[in-house]
Amino acid sequence: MPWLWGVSLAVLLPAVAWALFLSPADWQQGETVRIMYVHVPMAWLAMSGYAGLAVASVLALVWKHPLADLAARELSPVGAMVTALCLATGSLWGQPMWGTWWAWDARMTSVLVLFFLWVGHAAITRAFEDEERGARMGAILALVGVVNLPIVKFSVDWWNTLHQPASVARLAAPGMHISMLGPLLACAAGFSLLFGTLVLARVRAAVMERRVQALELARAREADRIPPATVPA
Amino acid sequence: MSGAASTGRSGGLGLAASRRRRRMWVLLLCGLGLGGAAALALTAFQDNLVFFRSPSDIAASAPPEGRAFRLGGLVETGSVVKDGPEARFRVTDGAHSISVSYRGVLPDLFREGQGVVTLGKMAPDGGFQASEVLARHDETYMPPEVMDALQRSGHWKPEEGAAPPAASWNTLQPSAQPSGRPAGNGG
Amino acid sequence: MSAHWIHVVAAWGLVVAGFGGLTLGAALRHRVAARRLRELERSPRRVA
Repeated sequence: MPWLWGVSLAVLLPAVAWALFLSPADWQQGETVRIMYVHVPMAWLAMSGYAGLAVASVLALVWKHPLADLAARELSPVGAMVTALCLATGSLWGQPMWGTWWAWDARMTSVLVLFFLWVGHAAITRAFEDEERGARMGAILALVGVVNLPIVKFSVDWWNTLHQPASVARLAAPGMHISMLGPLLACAAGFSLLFGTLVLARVRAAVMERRVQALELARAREADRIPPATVPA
Repeated sequence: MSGAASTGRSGGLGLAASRRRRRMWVLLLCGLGLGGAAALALTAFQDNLVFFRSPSDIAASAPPEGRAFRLGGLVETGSVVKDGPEARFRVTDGAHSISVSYRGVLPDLFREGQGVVTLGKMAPDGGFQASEVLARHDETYMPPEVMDALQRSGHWKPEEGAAPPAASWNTLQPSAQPSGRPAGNGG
Repeated sequence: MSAHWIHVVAAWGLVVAGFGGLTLGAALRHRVAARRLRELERSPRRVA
């Protein structure tokens, strides 16, 4: 487990250095383009993370795999965070470049919906006394929300939006010079590894917490069965 | 909550396996239903989902007077006039163009040949009175040296519109010559 | 354009804070759970 953190940082830290210090500025955006190296990976993680949530939800609902519910529960707070980061870094980028912090176009609105789905799932899975019930409601919510995923992805193609279309739509002919595409992909890889490691660490902690709960429950039951010892005065 | 002992692997006719298969079908049908409903809803609301209209849209069906809406397109080359606090320019989509008048600070990236989205109302003279102007940059990213090289070789004039197809420059390694000095090899 | 450095710093700062915070949280959860697990598995008769 610690080595996963090591691998993640070994990929991420050089990628960050490349993006921040060794890559060129953009001809029109200048140094502000360096926000792209966090904004785009966060967007990609928000969406691919949600796809992972959907997979876990199917596994939970159809196969009833015990870890599926646990993984989904630990995934949504992290997914919510990266989506929030996507929105926040997007606003920080949009204000100087477009002239506004926000616009209700199809791309930004659908990503906001994605954020609400993440938060909704995190809340629902923690709202019920009966954890299994909360997990099932969460899985259903996650799958209902899958319809939003293609909407987010194709929003810039299907409708007029302020947000520009994808630069890296096809890896074959990206609308981005290779001196900038390199650091972008490196940062995406680094942040993806970090995301995965973080979720795994949370799942591991949750499994341990479950075991603690089970042991404490067993102890309490034992204590009830053993009559209280009479202490000689 | 787990069903009877799963013998799903052999022949798939164990009780748990058929329950599982039924759940999968339910899920699939719900998914299709939901997807279909969403597609219908989105096509029905097309008009409300567009963030801006193009000059051609306006030419085809003029919006009601006094109603605020967003007009988007490219800033027409050579059309920008700064007259004191007021800026005037034309927004074009290649087929039609509309004259826009605006008082306020223009965004950093505003320039001729750049995309623009502007909020406002139609004026009685057929022009557009803008209360907000946003720059709408495209999806191309390149270093200044590459842009210089494209300009100097005549492949691109930014004030006229979008960059040439990405494949022609996204791996371009311009020779390290500061612009202003004559190129060593013919352009 | 260089006036926008503060946007760049803020964006990166938020990302570092976000991931850093969640990582610390996970590490803390792990430590607490591991300690409790050790206690429980060590002394079978004690109910803390």
